[in-house]
Amino acid sequence: MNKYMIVTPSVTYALKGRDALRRAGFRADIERRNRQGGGCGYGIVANGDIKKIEQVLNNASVKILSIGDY
Amino acid sequence: MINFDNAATTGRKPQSVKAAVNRALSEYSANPGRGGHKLSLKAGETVYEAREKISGFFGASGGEHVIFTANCTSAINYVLKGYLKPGDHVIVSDLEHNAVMRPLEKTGVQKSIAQTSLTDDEITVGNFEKLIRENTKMIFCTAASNVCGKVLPVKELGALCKKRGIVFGVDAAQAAGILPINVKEDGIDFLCVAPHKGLYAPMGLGILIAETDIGDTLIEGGTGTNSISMYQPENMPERYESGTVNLPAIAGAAAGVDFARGYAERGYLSEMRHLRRLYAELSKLPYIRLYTPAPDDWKYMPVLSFNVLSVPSEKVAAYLDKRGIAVRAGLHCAPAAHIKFKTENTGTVRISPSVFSTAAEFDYLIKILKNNLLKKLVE
Repeated sequence: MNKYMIVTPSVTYALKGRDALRRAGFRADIERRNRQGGGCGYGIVANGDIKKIEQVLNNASVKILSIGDY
Repeated sequence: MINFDNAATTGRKPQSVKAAVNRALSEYSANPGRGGHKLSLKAGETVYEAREKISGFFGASGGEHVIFTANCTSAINYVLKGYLKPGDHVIVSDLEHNAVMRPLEKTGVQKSIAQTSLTDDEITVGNFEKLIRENTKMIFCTAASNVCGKVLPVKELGALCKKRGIVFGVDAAQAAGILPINVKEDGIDFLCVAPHKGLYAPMGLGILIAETDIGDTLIEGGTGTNSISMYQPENMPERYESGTVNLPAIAGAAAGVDFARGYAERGYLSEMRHLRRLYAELSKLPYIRLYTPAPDDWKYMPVLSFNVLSVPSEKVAAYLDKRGIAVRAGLHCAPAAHIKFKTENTGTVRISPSVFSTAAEFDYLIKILKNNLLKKLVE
């Protein structure tokens, strides 16, 4: 299964996104990320279908700065 | 010491609040949202969970709408100075605290003061409506007076603002945690909270719930986000949270929300029963001046102001202090209310219990106030 790093504008959005994904049945965690991408010091690491992941985050009003392979 | 000065800050804190503060200080005392280590993440999660809990309690749109500030006054300053622009007009009530009046004075925006009725909320709403002009951008008012306890018709004022396309800000320093407040149902755009009062949390923390974009920032600095940029981030809540937030107080506020959920209504009704008994006893004493009708449930907060004829309120408070009772005297930082009651020269003695106040404590206060008080004060 594909694994992604989703960068959000802040740790608040990262935690909100992690919880939304977990509620939707995805495996999701917070990890420290490197500084490229302009976001906070954390990103969401999530497994699964990226289209569905994006949909869950959008429905939860989680702002996404970038998505990359993990 | 019997503490009847809980409108200033609730003196006795619940065990659950103290335990939450202690855990934050002893188990994960790290800077939330900054470092990448487990302690920092735990601290960040604690802050996030507090945002979500507070958002749910006040009916906000989500945790990202909950901004932590230094205190309720800071939250009010963020709103008034961030949102209002020169040429704007704002309407406030005649019961406002200086936390509202002084920042408004500094902004230089036009302001009108609506008279509140102590008995008829429709009159109050009508008085606000009459003052609306073409350039009125905001109604900002207290949810309840810190001097006389009058609860303002927040829901009706929120509806008025929505009808007229005006932003609505509420200073809920006295009411939050005690009276039910739901920002969505009440049409509130900005809610300013003092968690160390009705949420029984530690001091040094304010909460601003912003359902509408505040606009400009008052303070800029490190937010733990996009550090390479020299500009504040656009996203709430970090845009308005430069510098390290007060993690122990935030943990305490989250525990305070749980406490309020369990206690708020029962505690409020108990306090009001005590206060009405006090009011009834005081109204029998010819040397006591009262300024409101007998306080009804949900129309008044458990706050009662009185004077002993024209004796300075500070003298009465000192007299009670010597007998083991803590009360607040003076103008309570709300001169507008004292102008309304014509008590600018004496101030008032303010009695404000908490959910922990007992009938026996009120018995003792009543006994002292009935026992030759006037003669003893002028001796």
